[in-house]
Amino acid sequence: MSEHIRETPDERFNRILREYGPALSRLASGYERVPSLREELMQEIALAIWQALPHFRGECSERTFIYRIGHNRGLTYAVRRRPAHEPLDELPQRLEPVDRKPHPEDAIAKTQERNRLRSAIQGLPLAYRQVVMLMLEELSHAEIAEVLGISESNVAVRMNRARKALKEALEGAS
Amino acid sequence: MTIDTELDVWRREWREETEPFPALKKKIRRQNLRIAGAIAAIAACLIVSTIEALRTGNAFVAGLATGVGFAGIVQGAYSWWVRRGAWRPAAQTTLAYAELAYKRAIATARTTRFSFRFLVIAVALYAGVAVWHWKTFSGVYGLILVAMIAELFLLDYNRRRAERGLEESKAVFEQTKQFADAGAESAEER
Repeated sequence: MSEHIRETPDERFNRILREYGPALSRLASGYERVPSLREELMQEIALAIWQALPHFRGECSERTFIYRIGHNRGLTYAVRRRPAHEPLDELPQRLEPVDRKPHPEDAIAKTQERNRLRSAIQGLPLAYRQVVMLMLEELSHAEIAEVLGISESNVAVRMNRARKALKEALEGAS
Repeated sequence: MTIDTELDVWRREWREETEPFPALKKKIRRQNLRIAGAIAAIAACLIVSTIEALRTGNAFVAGLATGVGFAGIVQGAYSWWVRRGAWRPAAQTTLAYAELAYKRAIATARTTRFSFRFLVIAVALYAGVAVWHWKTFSGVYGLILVAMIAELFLLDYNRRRAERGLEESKAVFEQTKQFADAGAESAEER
């Protein structure tokens, strides 16, 4: 923690993007499925973090702070987003025709599994989607409560329902 | 300790593929350029029309300069006024952000509606003046009229987009509120 205090704003921002970049990128994928638009969202999140960092006074953990910005930005984006129109060349792989023959291509099967999960998450209502994404990032109930600004018991309730909804979505997709 | 296999599998799948984070500079540069471009365009219109009015002493150009200045001030003031209470979220919660986004969507819709109506009146007035002075109406003034009409179409497109955005943000806000209320009730029951 003490070495973080000595960081310049630039160093701190770069470290945050290094540490949380992959998680924020996954978070963005929960809000936007079109790759080029997703990149836009990721840049918006990064910009929001950059703008918010000088105001961070350590009232919560840095992790909570970053996820909170990411989710609030994602939510704002979801609100602003135009009705789903996906450029044909950017449709996710899950929509491409799948060869059902037993190829020795485990990678394809894995990708399909990943896409299935991602698309099931993308199809959940926002309130469930946020809880699921934070749960998959291994945040505790307390941290999720802090990120979303709800009580821990509310997190537990929402998490149970979200898991059920995700399970149903996955079963429906298979 | 219980092992939650299902959750572990989901976590593994979720974390397996991650895209690299894009460069931030591009976004900042584009955002700054957009703001600077909008300010520069308004300032250029105002400066050029004012200089022309002073240089030529032409009443028509003077009227145009006054109109551009007046339009800039009125629209800027209106835009600022409708955005009151929509600058920052009331709290750091999802519901507060959804509400903020909804308020901003209302402000955007109202601003574009206002700008569109304002421009309709401006085009009508300008066209009226053009007809009145049709003998001295030069090509440049004609071009200004064409540009105003083109802007009218652009504003109409933006207005429709803003209305759609408003509907969407309202739906998300209501959904978020409903979830927040339902969650709170369930938590209380427990």
